[in-house]
Amino acid sequence: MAATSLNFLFRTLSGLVIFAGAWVLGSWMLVSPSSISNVEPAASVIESATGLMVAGFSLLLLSGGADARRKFWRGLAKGGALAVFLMAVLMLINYAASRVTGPAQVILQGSNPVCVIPARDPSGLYMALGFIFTAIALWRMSKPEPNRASLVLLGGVGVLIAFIGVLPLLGCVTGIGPAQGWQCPSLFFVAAFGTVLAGGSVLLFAWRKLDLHLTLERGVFLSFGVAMFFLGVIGLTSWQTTRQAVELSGRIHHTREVMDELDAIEADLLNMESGLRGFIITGNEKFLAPFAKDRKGLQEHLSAVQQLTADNPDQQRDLLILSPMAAKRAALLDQSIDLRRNDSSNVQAQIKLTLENEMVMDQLHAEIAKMMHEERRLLTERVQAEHATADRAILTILLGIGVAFGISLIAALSINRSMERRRKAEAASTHLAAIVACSATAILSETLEGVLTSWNGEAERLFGYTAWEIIGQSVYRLIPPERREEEKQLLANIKAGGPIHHVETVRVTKDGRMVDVSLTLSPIRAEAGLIIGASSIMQDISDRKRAESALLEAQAKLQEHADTLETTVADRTARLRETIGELESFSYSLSHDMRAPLRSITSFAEIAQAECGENDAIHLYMDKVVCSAKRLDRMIQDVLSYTKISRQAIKAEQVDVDQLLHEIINERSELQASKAVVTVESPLLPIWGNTASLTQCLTNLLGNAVKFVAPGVLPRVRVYTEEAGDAVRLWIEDNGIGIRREAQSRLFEMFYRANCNPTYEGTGLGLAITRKAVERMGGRIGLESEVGQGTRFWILLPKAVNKIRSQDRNTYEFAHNSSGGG
Amino acid sequence: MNSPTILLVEDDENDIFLVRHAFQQADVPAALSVVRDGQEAIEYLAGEGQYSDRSRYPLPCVIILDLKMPRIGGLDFLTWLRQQPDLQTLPVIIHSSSALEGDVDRAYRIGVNAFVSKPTSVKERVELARHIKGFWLHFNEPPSLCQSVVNVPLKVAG
Repeated sequence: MAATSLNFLFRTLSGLVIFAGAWVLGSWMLVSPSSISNVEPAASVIESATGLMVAGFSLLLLSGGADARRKFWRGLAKGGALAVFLMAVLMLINYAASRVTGPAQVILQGSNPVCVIPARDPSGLYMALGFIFTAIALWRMSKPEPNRASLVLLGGVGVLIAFIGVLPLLGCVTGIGPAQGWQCPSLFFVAAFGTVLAGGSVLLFAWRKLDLHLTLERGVFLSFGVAMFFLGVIGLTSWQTTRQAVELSGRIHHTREVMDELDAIEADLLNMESGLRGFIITGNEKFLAPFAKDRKGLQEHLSAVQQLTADNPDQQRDLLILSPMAAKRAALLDQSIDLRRNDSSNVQAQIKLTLENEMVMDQLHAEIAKMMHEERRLLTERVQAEHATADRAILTILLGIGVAFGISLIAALSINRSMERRRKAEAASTHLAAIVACSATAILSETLEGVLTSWNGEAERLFGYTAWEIIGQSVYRLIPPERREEEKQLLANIKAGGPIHHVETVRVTKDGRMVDVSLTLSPIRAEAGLIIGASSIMQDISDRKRAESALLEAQAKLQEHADTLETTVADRTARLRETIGELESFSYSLSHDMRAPLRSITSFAEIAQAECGENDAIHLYMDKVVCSAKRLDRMIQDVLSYTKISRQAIKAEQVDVDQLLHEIINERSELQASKAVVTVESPLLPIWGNTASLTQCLTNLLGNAVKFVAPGVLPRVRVYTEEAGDAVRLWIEDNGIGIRREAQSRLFEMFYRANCNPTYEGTGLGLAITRKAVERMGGRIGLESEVGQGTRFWILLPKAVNKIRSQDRNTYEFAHNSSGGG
Repeated sequence: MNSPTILLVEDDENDIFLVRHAFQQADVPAALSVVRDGQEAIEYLAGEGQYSDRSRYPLPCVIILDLKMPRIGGLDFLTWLRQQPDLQTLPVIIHSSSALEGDVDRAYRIGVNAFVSKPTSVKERVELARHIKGFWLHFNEPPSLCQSVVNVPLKVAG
């Protein structure tokens, strides 16, 4: 049941507890005390009523409410618990003292004390016990956040309270209690019932907090169980009271018979006397006619009474007195008759006899009256008992019907609610079924043995079988023979409880076509959690499979192409290398072969010069020839060195740049102090490179630095190194004319000349060779330059790993050390 | 004829002329015999054909050898020469226009005695001629073969 309905039930029960208390109090106050005293002696009425109402209110307070106020309600409920406990104590005192104490005493002062008979009635004790436990429960309930164990305990206390309430009720209605001297007043029934309700409320409270859930079936079972219990109680009570009523009415009838007989005896005695008197006065025998009949009747009636009162020793005793007395009276009457007949004049004797007769008659009258009175008392008692029984029966039946009705109502409501939920679930499942039916995925189910149990539309479309055809058939009809083992394995997995996701497999359709499917299996469980089958979702992945295989094919083709391409590239690269090699060798031979005639030209021109004398014009021409030939030769030499740099293997070594620069400066006349100032910021960092290549680079760069200066300017070159991570950057800085920005990017190209001014002679190969050399050493080359601001070339080369000379860093100019110059 | 003979193996007429010119300028006291390629050089040394007259074509005391030549090149000739038991001791100076490292090393490995790049100017050529005169004809001790060259005919392996 939902928490809200539980709460509602809880409040209803609490309300009923208050109502029971109010009923008890109201009944007691509205009905006149005398009538209560006559019919309903009550035990501790005020205490019972107060306790019930307080308990009911406290329970209501604990049923929930706003959080801010809950604390306050709890406090009140705690007070209620104390009040209930107080009532229980008062009732115990009442029970122990067998009299009214406490507030009841004050209230009842002046009223008929008989109305409250707090006799030692166990019903009062039961009520008191019930109240004590109710107080304990209320106290526990008013504490915040009870733990689970204490809630279970609380539920137990609730059951105990209800049991304590039910026990005296059962005792009374079954007649066991009254037989033991219980008074079982009807108001007590209400009070006891209130206690049962209070116990129920406590149980419900614990139940709600424990958040237990009943299944529909258990709920129905429980409700019917409780209802049947109450119906049983009602039935038992009805049977018992009916039995009692029958017995009582028999007894009442019996008493009436006895009384009739006694009346008849008296009548017979009177008739006998009046007959006798008529005879005595008139002497007429006619008056004596009924006498004999009455006398005989008297005997009969006496024996009848004797029989009827056989169960009553008092009446028998009285009868023992009555019978001789009646006999004596009969004898006296006979004497009177005899006297009148024989000696009618003897008046004295007759008077004496009559007086004696009168005396016996009075005694008889008294005795009969005594017996009559006894019978009347019995009658009253029995009628009263009959009424009480009837009342009790009516009350019990009414209460029982009420409880049974209430429980049935609650059960019906809760069952209805559950049914509603179930209907909703069914609707949801219908909804799901509709989704399954129109799903674009094949959904089917099978037993663990592989028997198909459901089949949706898409399955129909995919496989070609209609549901009618295939349901009940084996799933193996859908599986190609080579896949059967796989299905068995899958079903075994399902049996073990594991769902199976997206297995790619093959199924066969009605027309024998193979379909690639992605299969998802999940176990179907019976209510007890037992796995009874598998639901299987199949997606047709033929298209995807086709796409995949097409993709694979494409990939393979691509790979093939790539391989071919690689081979082709390798082939072509090899061929290209070969061609480059051939080209290089060709250009080498070409350059080489070109030099031979050049040399001859130069040599012959020189010889001609030597032979023609200095003033001859031919001398000047020959000079021009030699100059041109030499320029061509330089160009060829540069091409050769470029080729050589490109072709030659380069050995890496540590290069002492200081030393190298020193040698270069000494060797080259244009770098001498007379022509330029070359400053080397020694010590330079050692470089990992190749001495020959670096020599070529530095020669070229230094040559350029001193060559490209404005006319009339003394070239100043500064060489220094700086660390750049694992590399060394060698700077060659000049005060030359600078290089145009747009020329800088092409500067290292072969045959490119930034400056076409004939003043600056050159082949256009120097920087190309330099860059090649640097690159062959694994370095890079670059520059920074502005027109008119000089140029800074840099060469970045790997740093030599070992020692840097520990010499002090000092700056010196090679010009000063150099031996040449001056 | 007591002056020694130097054999110039050279195909370029200009170079032949320039070498002669330089030798004249440097007053080299040796007769310069010239053959045009390796094949002719072999014939000359073997005394075959037109070179059978040793008095006209005496064994040289130094061979100046160019590398690039038709028919048999300089290195091939050198290889042949070093395999001749009677001739292998002859000093050979390579006089080439290329000084490629590979060529140089190969030449030394085969057994050349000196490797000289052809000078570019007349001045240098004359200088070289002087050096050859000074070193090879004066300071250097020639192998015994050279001292008895004049009249001793040689058997040359084919």
